[in-house]
Amino acid sequence: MPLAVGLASVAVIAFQLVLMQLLAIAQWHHFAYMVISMALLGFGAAGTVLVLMRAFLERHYAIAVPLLFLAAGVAMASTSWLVGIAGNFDAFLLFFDRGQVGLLLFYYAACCLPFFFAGLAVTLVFYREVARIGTLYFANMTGSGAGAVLVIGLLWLLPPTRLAGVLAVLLLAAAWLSRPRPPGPRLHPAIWIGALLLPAASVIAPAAPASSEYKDIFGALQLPGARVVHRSSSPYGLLEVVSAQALRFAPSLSLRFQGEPPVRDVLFNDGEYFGTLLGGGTTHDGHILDHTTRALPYMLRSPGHVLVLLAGTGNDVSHALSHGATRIDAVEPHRQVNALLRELHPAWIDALYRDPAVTLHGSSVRAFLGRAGGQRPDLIVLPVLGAFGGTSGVHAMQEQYHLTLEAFRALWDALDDTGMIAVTLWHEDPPRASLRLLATWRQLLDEHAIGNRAAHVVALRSWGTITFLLSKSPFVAQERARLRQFGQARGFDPLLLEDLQPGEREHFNRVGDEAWFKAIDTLLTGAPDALDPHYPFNIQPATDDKPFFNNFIKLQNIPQLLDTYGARQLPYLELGFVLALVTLVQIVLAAVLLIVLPLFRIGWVGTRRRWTFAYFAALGIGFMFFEIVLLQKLMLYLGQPVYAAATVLGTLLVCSGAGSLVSSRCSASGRVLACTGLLVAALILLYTFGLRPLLQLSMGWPLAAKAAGVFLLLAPPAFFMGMMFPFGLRRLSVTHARQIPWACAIDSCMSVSATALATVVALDAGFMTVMLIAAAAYALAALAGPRLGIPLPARVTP
Amino acid sequence: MKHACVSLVLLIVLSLCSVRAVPADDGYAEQRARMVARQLETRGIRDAATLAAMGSVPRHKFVPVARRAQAYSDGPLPIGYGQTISQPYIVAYMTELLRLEPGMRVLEIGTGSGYQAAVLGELLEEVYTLEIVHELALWGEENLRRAGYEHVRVKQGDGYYGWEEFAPFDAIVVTAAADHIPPPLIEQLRDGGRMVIPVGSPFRTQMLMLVTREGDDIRTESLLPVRFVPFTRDPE
Repeated sequence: MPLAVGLASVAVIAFQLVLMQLLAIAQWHHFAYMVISMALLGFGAAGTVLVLMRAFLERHYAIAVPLLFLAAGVAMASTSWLVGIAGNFDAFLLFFDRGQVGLLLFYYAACCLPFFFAGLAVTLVFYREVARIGTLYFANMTGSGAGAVLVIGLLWLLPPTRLAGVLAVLLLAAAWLSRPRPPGPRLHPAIWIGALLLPAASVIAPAAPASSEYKDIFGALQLPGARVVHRSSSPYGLLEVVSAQALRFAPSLSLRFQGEPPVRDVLFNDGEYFGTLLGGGTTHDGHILDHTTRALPYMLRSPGHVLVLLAGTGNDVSHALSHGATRIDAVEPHRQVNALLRELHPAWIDALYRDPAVTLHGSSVRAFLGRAGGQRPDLIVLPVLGAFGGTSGVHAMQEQYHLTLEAFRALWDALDDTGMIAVTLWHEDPPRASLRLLATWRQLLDEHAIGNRAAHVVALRSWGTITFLLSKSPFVAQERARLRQFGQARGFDPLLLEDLQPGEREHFNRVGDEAWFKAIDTLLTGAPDALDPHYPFNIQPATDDKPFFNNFIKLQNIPQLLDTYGARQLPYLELGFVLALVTLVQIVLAAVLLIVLPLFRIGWVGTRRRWTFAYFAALGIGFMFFEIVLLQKLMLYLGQPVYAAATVLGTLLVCSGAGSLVSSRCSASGRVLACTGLLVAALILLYTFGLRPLLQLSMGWPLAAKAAGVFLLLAPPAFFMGMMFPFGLRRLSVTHARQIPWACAIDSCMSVSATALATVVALDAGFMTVMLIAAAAYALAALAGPRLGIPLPARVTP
Repeated sequence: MKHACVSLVLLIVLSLCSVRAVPADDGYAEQRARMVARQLETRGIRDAATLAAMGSVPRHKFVPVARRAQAYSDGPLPIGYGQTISQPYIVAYMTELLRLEPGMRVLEIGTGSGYQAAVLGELLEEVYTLEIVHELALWGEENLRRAGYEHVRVKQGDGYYGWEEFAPFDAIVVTAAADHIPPPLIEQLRDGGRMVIPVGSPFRTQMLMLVTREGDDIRTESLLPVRFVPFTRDPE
């Protein structure tokens, strides 16, 4: 049975990540997160159902477990097909079209089934065989950890559409292993064959959820002659290259450009625009980007060493090369793109990444900066912020560690003495990103005691984009003159210049929004308290503790924004944040229902129920809060989000499993529980304040050393966390065994709720607050633990 | 008594019949009038011709059948293919911005449902509209014909190159989302002409960009139909 539980756990966790990717491809990452969060409540529902049907399931335990594993496998294999039965759901229309709500609920139900059936089987096993809960929980956690790692490898081998079927086979294997032995009841062979058919079909002829019409790739594929010329899948996502005669690259092109912009193929990642395969980018009149504001740094100075961050498909790299840069460091963490453009299909970008002057680094920006001591680029180019037409706030919840105050400090320190940082952003309404950027740069300049800030910042504005430059050395008169000349030639207006004249700002491109001009002047050179404190958007610099550069919502201002924009339009201003809130509300409501329902069976009053609730709720919240913060911090540290997530999850789960196994040998006395809980709380507190300095010290280490360090760091708290759950169940088992399924339901529901809650807390209060809450949760568990039932004596693991 | 009953019945029947004889799109006519009054006039649309055009064009004939009940609501509507029919206010605002006069010639890039083209067709004889997506071009054209705008010329093709055959244009409306303004469109804009481009998320009130041409001098102006929030304190 432990092996069956382990296999099922592998399948379930791996499927969670596969489903996340499938939904991100079809819709958006935030929607995927919303659906997954609700689907995981299937685990909580499993515990609730077990409470309500305990007698029946106990009576048929031998046949129920394999049947439930089989049902989970069938549901898993058919999820992609099931979600489309009721109609094509489009997340973008969710706040616009009421009919989408019904489709969404159906989506939840379809995605929830595999988790529900698997969760019910595992919870039933925990309940029935609580005497060896240590071994079983070890199998559960280790299997989950293995699943998190295994899926990374599988995603390199197979597209996610086929993986669901492959993973379903693991559940069928779990069913086989847990089948009753004679003389017990047998499952008819037809059931086994029937169950195997669906996974086989989904591997051979996979289905995929219908895509949103509002994804970038959908629009591209509507163009005449458009076709997908390449498709490949990896843990980083689904990469597709679309070719069409109407795909031109000319972002915010000067209205004075004469000629034809280049027609080039476009690369999409999970259906979203990733980059144009521009290659050389030459036109009859220089590089195409010379006709946009992005040429500004090259018009003012002649940088020889250029650092391009989040280089993507290399457009800024080719731009730098066209201006004679002799050394270009291009940082791009998407290794699949790098392999595609450097190794497999270099011709797509005219072998740009193989140019001798270009060094491509496949790591995150912060990891690169941590290792890049001694390099002094003349120019650092950041990726363009925003998009034409806005991004509808879908990136509000995306962590952007390259745009935090700490990141800009690192960039400033890396710069040559006359170096510049260039940031281009698309016009947006209402303006937010430009204000936050200037607020960040102002703080940076103040930290370096640079009084004349206006001399160190210039900006040039076209009809579509604004390019801001921050320089270590003041911009001199000649450079300002060159800016004006360039602007005059292209029809661009100076936005920020030390000696800006009246009327200069709107000669070619009128904004008609004096308030915005006043705000940017105030941010850069004025008194900060001149800004309206009631401005409904948060424009404070993003920090590593709150690295959400594109999140501008202040919770307390939502009523004001609703009043201004209306309930229908507001979500499209900050869609990511709204989805996070909606997810939280949904989950909490559902979780409350699932936790309260069993009380109708086990009774509302009685001994120690509140302690059962407090203990297992604290475990669910504490573990997930800790996991989420560690994932964030260590992804930044390790520099490779995909592998970092696998390392962190794998370590946490496997070490928790080890703790669970060892817990079988320990007494689950009140004292042991309390001490374990307090120890975990203390470790979390220690990490809250001590982790960051430790990570910063070792940021420059090689990746393998860092990964080993991460393991050593996570093992102790994870080990002791893993002991808490089986301790609790063992204490309940003697006198309050009926509460065991309820305890499992509480833990599952609160874990899922914690995921959503942690996101909202982090958006508003930062990750440190999330860690402090995790510590408080384990302190609560230490308080509640001794008040749970009576423990079983320690046993030797068979 | 009997005579009185007959009279009464007759009276009842007549009163029922005396319900205003309405055209076939009765409910829509009222909705249309309400749309003009509440969504356009109250928000500052003043041009009489634009208001008349908005009050005439049967917007419900340019939306998918399943969405006809919402045709005159104060917002955009999805029409498939990732496109929307713009909020009535935005359509009216753009039309007013163009400052159209009889005899002018206008080009639209991005036919979509054909509604904007129909509004322009209410005002002008020469309206040309381009749509790159084949299915949308067919549907937009069908909508225009069905609504009685046969004089609006629809072509399926890449709007990048404009419609050189009928250039120059006094006004150009670019509704198709693109991150650049094609140089050929600038070329085909008459000296003194106006080009309008809505920018923003499809389900929010959009910013409008006005492009004007005076000889070789090309200027843009960002127009916010609604000014939303202040940034700075009022001076004390």
